[in-house]
Amino acid sequence: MKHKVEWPIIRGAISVFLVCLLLSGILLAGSFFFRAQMQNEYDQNQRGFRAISQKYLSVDGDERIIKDHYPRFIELYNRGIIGSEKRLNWVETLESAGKAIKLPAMRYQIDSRKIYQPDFELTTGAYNLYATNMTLSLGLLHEIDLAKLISELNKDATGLFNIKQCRFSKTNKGLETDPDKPNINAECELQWYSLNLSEGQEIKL
Amino acid sequence: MISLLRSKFNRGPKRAVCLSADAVTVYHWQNNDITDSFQFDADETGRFHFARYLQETPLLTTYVLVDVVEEEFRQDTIPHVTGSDRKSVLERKSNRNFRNSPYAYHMLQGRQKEGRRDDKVLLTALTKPDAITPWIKLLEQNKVPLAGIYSLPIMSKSLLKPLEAKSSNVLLVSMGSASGLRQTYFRDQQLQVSRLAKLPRYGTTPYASYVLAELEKLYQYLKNLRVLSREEPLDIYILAHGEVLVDLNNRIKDTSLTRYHLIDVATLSREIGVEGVLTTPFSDYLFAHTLLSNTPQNHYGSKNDTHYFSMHQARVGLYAASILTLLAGTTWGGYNFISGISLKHQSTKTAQEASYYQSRYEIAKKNLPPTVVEPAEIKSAIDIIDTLGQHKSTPFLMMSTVSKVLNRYPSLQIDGIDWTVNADPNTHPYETNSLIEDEQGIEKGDYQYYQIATLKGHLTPFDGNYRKALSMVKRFANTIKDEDNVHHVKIDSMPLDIRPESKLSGAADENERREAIFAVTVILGVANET
Repeated sequence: MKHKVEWPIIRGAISVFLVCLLLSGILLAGSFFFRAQMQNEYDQNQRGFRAISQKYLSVDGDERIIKDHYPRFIELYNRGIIGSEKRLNWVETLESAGKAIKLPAMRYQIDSRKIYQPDFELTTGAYNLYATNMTLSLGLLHEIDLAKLISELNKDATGLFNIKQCRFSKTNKGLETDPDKPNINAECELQWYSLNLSEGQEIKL
Repeated sequence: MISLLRSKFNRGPKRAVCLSADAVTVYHWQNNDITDSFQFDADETGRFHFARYLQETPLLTTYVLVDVVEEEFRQDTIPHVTGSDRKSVLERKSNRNFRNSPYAYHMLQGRQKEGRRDDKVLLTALTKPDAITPWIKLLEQNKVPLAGIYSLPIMSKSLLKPLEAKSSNVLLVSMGSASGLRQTYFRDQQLQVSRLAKLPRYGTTPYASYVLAELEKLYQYLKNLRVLSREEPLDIYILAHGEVLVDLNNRIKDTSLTRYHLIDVATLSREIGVEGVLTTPFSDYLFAHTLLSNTPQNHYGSKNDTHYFSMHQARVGLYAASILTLLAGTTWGGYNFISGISLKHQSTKTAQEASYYQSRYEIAKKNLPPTVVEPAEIKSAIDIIDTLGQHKSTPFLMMSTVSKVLNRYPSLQIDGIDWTVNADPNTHPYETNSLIEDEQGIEKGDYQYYQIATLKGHLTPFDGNYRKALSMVKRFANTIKDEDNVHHVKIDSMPLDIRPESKLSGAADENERREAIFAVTVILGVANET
């Protein structure tokens, strides 16, 4: 004969066990939730503390940076390397230099400004580096004319540029002595660099 | 330690129901000792009163101790098997020996020393279940938690230790007020035979002569069975008290075959923890106390008999599990709360420190001149511009290098130059593809960047001597290679392509105008051109 489970005997015990299980579950869940909340708050405050203490400790360094580098930063801003580029100045400088050197021919084309990633390693941090391509088509009496033009740009143009590539070709087989007729055609591509904050904000002094 | 624990757990209320042929005695146990006892006649009236008693008392855990004549003991052997095989062999043996009894038990008593070394087994059973079953049914009807049905002879083995009965032939003799004279023989501490004889009513006849007469009968029986060890005499332990003990002492005499040990049941009871003073020669109280204090393994009770006890145990287990669950939840939860509160304290302290540093930082920052970007970003911007400045280049270094070499080769005329600058020496001016397609590429040197120029030119005057022209272009390339910072020089095209894989055509006409065109790529490494 097989006895059935006598529920009346164990009913009370099962109820007590279930209540205890429920209470323990609630207690555990509540305590885990509470602990997790406290842990989050603690982590957040720790991060805040580390950030502000780091800032506070770097105040002296900041002061030194401002003293040593901010004047140059302003100068670079005024030269159009940081912030907005000075296209009008480039054009004016080019035209005045072309006249001064008496270049037989000079044409230029300036493209739109684009974010630029150089072919060498460069950490830009909070900034975006921009490059504007300028294509110069020149008629030169001699290679020195190009050197003079670059020199004038370096001296007078507000900006930082680099010559990316150049193509030189002779115009004829013989040497031209007429100053209005070029001996060498040169086509050079210049890149004008500028920096701005990567979040899209314009730097304005 | 174990006995201490057992003692602590034995404090709860329980009871022993001692069944004999004439009466049923109930002993209540509380706080480690027997507190009350009740006796019922072993008949219909007795059972009626017993049923009322059960209804009026709490559902105590109950241990039934049986001391009846109708209990048989049979020695047997079984093959040495284990697990379910042993269980089925023993069940078969038990069924064969005690066909109709639901109350059967077995004890393994070692192995034979010879032959297959079979297991020795003592099979026991209550052969007249009708004397037991009505009482067990009453317990079941009243849902009493029955822990087990115990055999008094089997259980009496537990007295050998306090009696220090260590010899190989031991006969334990005790008297039960309702059952009679119990004689149990142990060979090498293992129960072999037990016999219950009727005793006259206490006080009507001197027990000593009666006991000794019964002992003689059993002794002869044991001799006939040939179970006695011949190496040692039979040690007979007689439990009695008062006049019976004195009388026995006067009558007994040790021989080479038998040695008597008269034990005062009152003294023995005291030794094993009975708190009251026993005044009769009977051992009922002693056995009930031994059962309730030791609670040995169940002998005759089936699963059906002990069903309510299992339920009772399940209930106790559930309560224990409840306490443990609550305890674990409280402990773990408490640890979490304490840990959380500790974190909260640390967090508050950290926030206060952060606030302190914030105010100090604000004060310090007010003294700094205003800037459009963070100071760290000022330095970063300048570093970027400086790095770009370090890579600023013009084609004049290349032109100067080439011009210097060309001065030594007046017959070489340059018609055009494609120039570029890159960190990769494999870049081709005005083209994005690899400079040298049939080679692995030019390895980088220890330079910051490279100026790469492709020079296109011709020989003038050219007299049609290609051998001389080829030699001159090669020499020109080698001369450039020797210049400072020249990383690599490659001749892209020769005045005459004499490679076996190329096609070659021409005319040996002196009037036809001939050209010697060539192209050379020069790669200059620049460490830091400013």
